Amino acid sequence: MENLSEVKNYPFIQGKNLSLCAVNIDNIKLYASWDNNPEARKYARILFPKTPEEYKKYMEKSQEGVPREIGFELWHNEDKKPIGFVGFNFIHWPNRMGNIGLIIGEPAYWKKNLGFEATCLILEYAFNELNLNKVNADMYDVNVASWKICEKIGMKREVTLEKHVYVKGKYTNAYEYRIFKEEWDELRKKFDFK
Amino acid sequence: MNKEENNNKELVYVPFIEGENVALAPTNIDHIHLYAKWNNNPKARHYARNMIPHTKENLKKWFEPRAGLTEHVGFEIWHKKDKVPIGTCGFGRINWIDRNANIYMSIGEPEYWNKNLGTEASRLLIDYGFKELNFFKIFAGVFEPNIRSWSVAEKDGFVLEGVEEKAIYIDGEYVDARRYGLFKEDWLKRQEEK
Repeated sequence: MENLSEVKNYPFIQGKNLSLCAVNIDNIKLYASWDNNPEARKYARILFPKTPEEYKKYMEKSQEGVPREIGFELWHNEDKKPIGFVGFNFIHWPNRMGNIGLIIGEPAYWKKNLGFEATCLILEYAFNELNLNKVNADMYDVNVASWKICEKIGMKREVTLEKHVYVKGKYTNAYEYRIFKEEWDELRKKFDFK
Repeated sequence: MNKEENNNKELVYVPFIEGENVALAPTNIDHIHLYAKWNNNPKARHYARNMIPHTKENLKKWFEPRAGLTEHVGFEIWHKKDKVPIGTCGFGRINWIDRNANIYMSIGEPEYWNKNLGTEASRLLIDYGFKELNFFKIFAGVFEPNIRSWSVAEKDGFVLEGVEEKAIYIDGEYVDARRYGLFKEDWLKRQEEK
């Protein structure tokens, strides 16, 4: 049995290799390190330095009413440590639409299909628990890993915003992918993520 | 309504949804003297089940901003011809995930009772709930002796889903509570038929 005096994570959704856990105020320094990591922030387009205090403030904000954003810590089941975030950075409840945010903050865990698993888990949550109708994901052209995940799942590139974001001295395109509940109901059968 | 009852404040009419005889307008912090009057009015509060006196200071709390999406949407009911607010209505306990809410309505000025104004206001509100807020179902709870309210609910197509026996203590005795439900698809069907 797990040592109860040393609970390190709060799993909420269990996947094959990853779990989505409630965010943990003890890990704010780690969270800040992901968002400041030069490699990771390049793709997430984080242009300003982040301090642990910002995460603390965010977590301390009183939560009345249904939240407009929901974030999870991505926990690596085997290595027993948090490696990133996944969640919705915006939910529009009357439209039943959510916008996915995902970052694997530890580059050592890139290229292992974990982003794909995390996205499947969050889609499952969106459609089966939150009762959403449509999920969007937007990213920039340079963030190849992210839009490859969307392609692999079978999400559709609904919008291309041309020369939308300034990366390393050049304007590049941004994409918006989407998936509807009825599309996911079909696509999910193909994947093994739980 | 005389000048004294107005607390010498000019009433501001800002229609949000307009009907034939009534309009639904946003609640207004400058009108809390009216809400206090209605919520405490012996005749009106009897039906609205206000057992605890409401102070203006309590009512001010409604207007405090919240972090999440609201679980309550309230309106003033305005009499269009007389240019006065006559009551309140809205949705309480909104559940954005299950997409349902509890409807409430109270005409706080008894001289406007028995004029079908509650029925008109309820229809504007239900339409707003289904067509703008995208609810799946609306609930109404009415206690047995409040015949006026449950007959409005039945006229609007609410279906009696159950009766909670002796659920409410009013005027020294326990009375039954009727639980009604109305599905969006049934509401839209009824509108087509008309």
